[in-house]
Amino acid sequence: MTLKIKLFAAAAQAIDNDHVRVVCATPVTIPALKLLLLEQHPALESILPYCRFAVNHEFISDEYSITAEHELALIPPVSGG
Amino acid sequence: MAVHIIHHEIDTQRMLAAVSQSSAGAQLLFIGTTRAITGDRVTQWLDYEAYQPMAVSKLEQLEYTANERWNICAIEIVHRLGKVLPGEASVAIAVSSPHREDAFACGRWLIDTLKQDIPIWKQEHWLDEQPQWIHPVNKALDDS
Repeated sequence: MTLKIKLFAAAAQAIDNDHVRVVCATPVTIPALKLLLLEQHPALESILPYCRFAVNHEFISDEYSITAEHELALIPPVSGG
Repeated sequence: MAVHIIHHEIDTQRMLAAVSQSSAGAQLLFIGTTRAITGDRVTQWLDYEAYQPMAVSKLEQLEYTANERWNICAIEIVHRLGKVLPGEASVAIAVSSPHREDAFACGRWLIDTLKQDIPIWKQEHWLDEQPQWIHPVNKALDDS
């Protein structure tokens, strides 16, 4: 299964794209997905520890089971305002 | 809904008119502007980006929660995206309430919570330096 993850700000800049794809078995939890992201996209290493994940426009906890049907986004620390 | 993400100048007079109600005895307007000088660094402009559908959804949740917590007549929240020059507004929040205490407390909570939880990011375009995305852990990132 391939998951698409939307990227923003410094995370998008690190990859030079507004999304990445991660090959993984689903459902997958956040800690497992973070390890796969690092393996497959090491350029995200410096920003990833500070990021939250959002599924269908809501922040999610580490226990959440992610499947391919979800809209998935990596949310770096925000700086609006 | 009274939440807007726009790509042009913020019309704060429209916002005040929108929260004007006969039951209101207070109108509060907060405007966040681009700061030209931070310490010894000079900002030429800021560039704002959002995860727009999530930002709108989360801002609507803030508006709902604020209405539950305080005695409020109306709320307007506008955030601008794209290039914002020094002195221009990037965000504005208007709150009206029967009494001023609720408008002050609610307005303060809205801007503080917006800055923590709404997926919007600014990129500093410094004079004489590379553009820099601002994340509240930048210091740690820069040091690493």
